[in-house]
Amino acid sequence: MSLQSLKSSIEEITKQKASALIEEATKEAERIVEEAKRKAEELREKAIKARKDELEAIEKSVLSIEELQWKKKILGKKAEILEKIFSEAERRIAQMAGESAYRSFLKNVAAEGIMRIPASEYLIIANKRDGEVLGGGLKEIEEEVQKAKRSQLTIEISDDHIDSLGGVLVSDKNMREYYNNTIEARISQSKMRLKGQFYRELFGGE
Amino acid sequence: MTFEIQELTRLVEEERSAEEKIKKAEQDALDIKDKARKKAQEIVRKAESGEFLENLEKKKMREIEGRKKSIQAEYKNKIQELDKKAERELDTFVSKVIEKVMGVET
Repeated sequence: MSLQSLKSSIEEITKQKASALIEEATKEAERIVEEAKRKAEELREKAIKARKDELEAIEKSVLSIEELQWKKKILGKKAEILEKIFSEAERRIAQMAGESAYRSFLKNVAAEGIMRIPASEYLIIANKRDGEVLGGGLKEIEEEVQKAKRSQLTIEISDDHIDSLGGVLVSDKNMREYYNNTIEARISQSKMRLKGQFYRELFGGE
Repeated sequence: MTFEIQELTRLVEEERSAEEKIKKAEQDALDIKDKARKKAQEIVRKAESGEFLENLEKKKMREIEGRKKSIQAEYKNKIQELDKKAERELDTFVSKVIEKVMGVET
């Protein structure tokens, strides 16, 4: 073998060995990166699933709270509407004071109060305006109630006045028993009786 | 096989050069693997850091905001309907109350 061919042989072997080393390292590098990518994908999938579950829970909670707040507002609005009905009724009744229907109402609430209390002497207390109206028709009330009760009785209009929109407070002479038949009391009673019915009629099953 | 001293010297130099080339190739191989390991570490680090979740979260938050707005619109509409109904029915119900309050049982 000549020296030149020996040199060529050394060069060739060196080249092959070096390229084998690089080739092997490149393959190993690719394997390392691929393995990392696979691991990263696994981690990513796991993290995405966990975060998605968390976000779903957040969404559910946020939307439930939002809906609950609005449902509360709806309930508030319904209560406001019902309240408006009764306050408007109160306002309109107060405006009826001078009308004949109101005078008849006054006579009737006084009579009703008397009928509810077992006594023979009664005291009627009202606001100044209604007290004067009742004073004018006292005889009529007395006769009507005596007829209904089938007994003798006396009715007095108190000089004291109550701070009320209208109606009367009836008591026995000794003020042991009384019956509150003022507009406020009657509205409050109506409210208790009618609220549920109005709610159903106005809002149904909403 | 007979060689001159000079030729032998060149051959030895050639051998030395070959050894250096191999050493360099070995070093290059180590560098390639080292670079790959660093790249792999970075890939895993990114996956562990959860940076990629940001977009997912932003998207979901936008979705939630959208749904919230739709709930708000739905209920605002319901409130408007209630107001309209109340306005329509107010007189009827007020009359019922007045009837009840003014009506007396004797």
